[in-house]
Amino acid sequence: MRKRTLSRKIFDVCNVIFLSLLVVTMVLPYVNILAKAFNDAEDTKMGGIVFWPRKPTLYNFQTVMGSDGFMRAVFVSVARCLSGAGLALVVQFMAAYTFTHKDLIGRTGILVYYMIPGYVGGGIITQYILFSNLGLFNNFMLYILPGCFNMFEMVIIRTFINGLPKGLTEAAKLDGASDMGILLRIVIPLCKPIMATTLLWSVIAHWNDWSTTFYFFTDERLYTLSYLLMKVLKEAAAIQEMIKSALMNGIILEIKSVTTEALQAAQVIITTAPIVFSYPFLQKYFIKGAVIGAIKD
Amino acid sequence: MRNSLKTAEQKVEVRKGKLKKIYQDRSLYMLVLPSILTIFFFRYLTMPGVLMAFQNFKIFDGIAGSQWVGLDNARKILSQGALKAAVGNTVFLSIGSLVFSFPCPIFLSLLIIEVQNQKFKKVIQTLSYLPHFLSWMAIVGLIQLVFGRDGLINDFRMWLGAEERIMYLAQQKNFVPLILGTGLWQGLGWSTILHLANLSAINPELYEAAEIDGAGYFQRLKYITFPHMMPSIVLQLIFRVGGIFGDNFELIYGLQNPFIDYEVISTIVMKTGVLNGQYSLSVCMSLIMACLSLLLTLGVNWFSKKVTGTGIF
Repeated sequence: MRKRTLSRKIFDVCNVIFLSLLVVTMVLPYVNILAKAFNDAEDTKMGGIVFWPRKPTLYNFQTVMGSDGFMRAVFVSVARCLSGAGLALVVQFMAAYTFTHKDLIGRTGILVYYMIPGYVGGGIITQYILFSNLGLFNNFMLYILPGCFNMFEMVIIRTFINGLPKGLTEAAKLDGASDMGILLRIVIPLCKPIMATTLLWSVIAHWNDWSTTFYFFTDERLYTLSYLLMKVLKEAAAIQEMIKSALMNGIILEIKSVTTEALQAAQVIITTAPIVFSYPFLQKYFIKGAVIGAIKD
Repeated sequence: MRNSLKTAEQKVEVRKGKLKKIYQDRSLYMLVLPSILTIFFFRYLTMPGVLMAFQNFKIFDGIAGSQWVGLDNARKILSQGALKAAVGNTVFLSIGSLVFSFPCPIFLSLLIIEVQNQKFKKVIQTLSYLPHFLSWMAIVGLIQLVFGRDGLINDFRMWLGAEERIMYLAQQKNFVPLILGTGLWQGLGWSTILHLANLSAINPELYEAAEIDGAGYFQRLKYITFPHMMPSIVLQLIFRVGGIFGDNFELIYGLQNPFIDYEVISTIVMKTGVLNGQYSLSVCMSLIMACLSLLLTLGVNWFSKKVTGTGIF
């Protein structure tokens, strides 16, 4: 162990303090909103809520969850995440496996084909016109199909497969296994970690996306939770409707203390809770692959 | 020339070999088919829509029936102050975030790598990645609530004895700092992952040897650490510069409100296109931006290859 000089010790202390403060700024806003979502709305207006609710109540959550369309939006979001991310995993994995074969004829050509749309295009409006011409508006397939191939994730999976011990696949080949056999019996079982990572990323991307709904959906029955969040944050009328429908549905019995901010806080918490509260348990999958993706090969 | 000496027969052989190889790999081609079809359907099929940029597109006439106007749309964009301003704002925000939030993760990773306590280091890293996984709309929500009239910032100011609560989000002058600050906040932790991976790959013996030779911290930084990090920093920089004409629609649209007059390309494309139905104008704008981005990426790539020897193509 090297001897630590005085200046080094001072640096270490300052460093720890600085990093701690930095992390506090990352976490505090969320903790604060969490406390406010669980606090009585009128009481919050008096100020002073930082970490913990002072007058705890579930009223804000009841109003949000009891409004029209909330449960349906949860269902649509979950359905979208499961089907969209599942499909993306399958499509990306299949492509990634093919691209581990360096001697494949036309390999570069296909890669270029994938990359061209990234540089050529007329943006969102051309998509808007295409989908409207094809009559795809308000079609659930628009949630899962356009995003089912992400080149970046495909490259990550490919890099991971390339990193597997070569001996295994070669031995299987000598035993007469076909490409498909190798894929199903050797590669897939070994790729579980990277599959978990990319699956998780796609789930999050699907869960967080609201602009697809914004551009291509007018049917309330297909709204997602993230889109509801957008409406609640951006449209004052959405809050009024939410309170009205929660009253009509009998979930809340009277308009007690209610503010736009309190309902917005509850909506933010509900929309992000699945990610934030699963994060500590799944974080190794969240983070794995971020480094793989950065390696150029 | 060896090629010309090849007889026709040999050429046929080679082609047969190729066909055989393709036939052998048929299952592999089947595996890429779904992704090829997806890209074709959702990306390539939108490409004819680019022609709208040179038309006075009417949705009922379609691309085939709409009137051709040449470069009129481009001229209109250059003559309309609002559109020009949006381009300026986009570039300004991108350059701002490049200058402001690109170096920060590098410094942060230099600090994190110095932490001795592994457990503390792990906690710091894990927590700092969290904002990356929140949706931009949720982040907009957090900002609205933290900077709002009854938010944490105003609470704190009142506690310090301020006179009145400030509506930060309704003030034009706060908009740009807010966008830049939020971008930094969201990506700061996550962007350190790559730098930390690079830093921990440096052979510690190099540092020890340098220390024995009497090199101080900053000399080691200059002669060991930075040269080692440079290739990946340059790559990231190329990507970022290529994206100067891009902006973060979700964040900026989310934070816009009736008190703010600040448009960027994506928000104005959405407003002129989707809301006002001026499809041609907004496609033309997207097209100009795409071309500029491509040129810029190619240019920076060429420059970087020449100077540092690394590039993305």
